[in-house]
Amino acid sequence: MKIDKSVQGGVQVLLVDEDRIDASVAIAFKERFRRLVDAVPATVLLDLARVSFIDSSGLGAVVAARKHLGADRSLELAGLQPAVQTVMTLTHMDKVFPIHDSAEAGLRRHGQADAG
Amino acid sequence: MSGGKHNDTDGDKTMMPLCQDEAGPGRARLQTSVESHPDAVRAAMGEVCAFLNAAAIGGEDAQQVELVLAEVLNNIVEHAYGGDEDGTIRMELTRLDRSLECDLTDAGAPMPGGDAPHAALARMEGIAPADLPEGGFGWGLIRKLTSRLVYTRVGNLNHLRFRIPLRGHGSGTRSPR
Repeated sequence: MKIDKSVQGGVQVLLVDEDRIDASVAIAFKERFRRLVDAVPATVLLDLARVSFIDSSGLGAVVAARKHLGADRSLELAGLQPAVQTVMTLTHMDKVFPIHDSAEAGLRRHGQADAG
Repeated sequence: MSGGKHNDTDGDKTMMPLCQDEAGPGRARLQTSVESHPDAVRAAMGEVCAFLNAAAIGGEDAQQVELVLAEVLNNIVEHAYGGDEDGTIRMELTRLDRSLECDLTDAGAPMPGGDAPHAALARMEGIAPADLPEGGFGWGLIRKLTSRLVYTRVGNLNHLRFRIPLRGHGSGTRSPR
């Protein structure tokens, strides 16, 4: 489970460098996320631009990641491909996670929020 | 169970396991066996995608098929076979005019309550992060995206049959990011 971490514009960006977050790798995703994510910055952006498929196991892993961060932090999603967006919409998880068209768009929003 | 030209164990995904149905021209069928572990399910999804390609099922239709079949297969692996990796799942997909008929058979444990769960996809507004569900979406997705879903148990075999509507979105209508 390859996830690349960077800090950009005061946001922790975790880029999932995998094609699928499915039952095969859901546990690996959870473990990798927990090991990789830092206490700061508080806002975490999960860049899913390379992920073309997510099933309910993968969704559960993303929810687990959200819960790992705790109530005082946020997990935002970016770069959802159509099949991934569909799963988020059908499960109503698009009401839970802020979703950005791209990591860049998400970072721009945070830049604006900081400047406001 | 099935003979014919199809080679279940072929790892080369370009060998499309597509055979013409004797029942009529233009109908396409995939028959394959899947071992009961997640990596085998992944490989089977590759076969499914090749079949969808050959059957000119693409775009949102293909996405729905892929999602439903992944959910159904995962359920059989996790619950019917309970993690036993020596099980076999028979999957048969038949392209009809406006839908894909799907037939799955396994020799795992029976469905609790004797029927497939009638799950709905719950609303998520106003739920505290700590209370978000991490599971239970699978059957909600399956029920939402399929029709005529029937579960039966005959002897020691589970049979699950359902249809996935095909709305004719064509192939590759969305450009990837």
